[in-house]
Amino acid sequence: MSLDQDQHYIDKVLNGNVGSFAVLIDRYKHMVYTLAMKILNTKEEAEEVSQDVFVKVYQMLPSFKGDSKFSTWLYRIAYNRSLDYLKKRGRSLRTSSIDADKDYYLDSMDNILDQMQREEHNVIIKNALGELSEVDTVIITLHYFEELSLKEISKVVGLKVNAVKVRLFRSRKQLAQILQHKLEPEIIEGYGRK
Amino acid sequence: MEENRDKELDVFLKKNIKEIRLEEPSSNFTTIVFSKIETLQTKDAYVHKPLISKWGWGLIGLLVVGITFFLFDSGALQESWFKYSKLEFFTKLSIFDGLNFISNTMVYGFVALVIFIYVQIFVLKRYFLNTYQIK
Repeated sequence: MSLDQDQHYIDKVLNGNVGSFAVLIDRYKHMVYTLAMKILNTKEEAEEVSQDVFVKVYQMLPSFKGDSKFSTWLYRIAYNRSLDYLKKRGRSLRTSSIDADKDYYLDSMDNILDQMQREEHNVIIKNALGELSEVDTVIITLHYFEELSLKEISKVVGLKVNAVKVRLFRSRKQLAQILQHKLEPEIIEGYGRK
Repeated sequence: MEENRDKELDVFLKKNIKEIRLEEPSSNFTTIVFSKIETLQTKDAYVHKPLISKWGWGLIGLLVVGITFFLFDSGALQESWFKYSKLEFFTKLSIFDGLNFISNTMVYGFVALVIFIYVQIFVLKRYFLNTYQIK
């Protein structure tokens, strides 16, 4: 969504048209909720945190200077609020111990995923994403769903651009490993048929 | 070589991840957010205003000090005034003489109880202020 379009509604809200905030909520609620889900893992908690994020953003809107995109600012608040919530509940972030150096077979995996029913395909991908660490899942989500640049992602997660680049590179390889492991029976079956 | 392989993986993941949809929040998500914002605005509307402002207290203080100085300065208050006043009567009272049966332990206990009650008043006051978010 373009910066100008968001700014138009932000200006309207700041001029007293509270209803215009609904446009911004509807535009970003899915992504905010998805980010919260990736970190908190429960629907109820993600729902509560996402709602609070929008309330907080509404309160902080006068302080939004437009130095970064509204979405980047919003996602940063969502990310930090989710981490705060996790800390308050005495929970900590997962670390992934998946070996990223093993080999994988992209063509075979791609063929099998193509042949799968949409539902089954989505479950496999979602489960694979769930095995990464929370921070890596957030980085992958922002990169592939929102197509944010490395610089924008670094602003959201508060890491240096190079650190994001390295994490993205490693997470991609880990995801390939996880998918390879999950699809192994189908891959072997496929070779058997040949 | 490694770079090419990463690029291929990037394309593969882009295609497969994009196919899955983002998580779906509850259908009344926007309505709930708005009701939370409304509650917030209503709370902000109830701003606690003290009956006597800080300026008012300052003025009262100044008046009291001013009047006291004026009375002493003008000679209206003299030491002898207290001497012949009816306040002298109170110095002759010995109400505590009849309370000899109260032991020191009982007095300490009572003083401790009073202190605890005072502490609780402040703790409860803060608790209720936080609960109702009076600003």
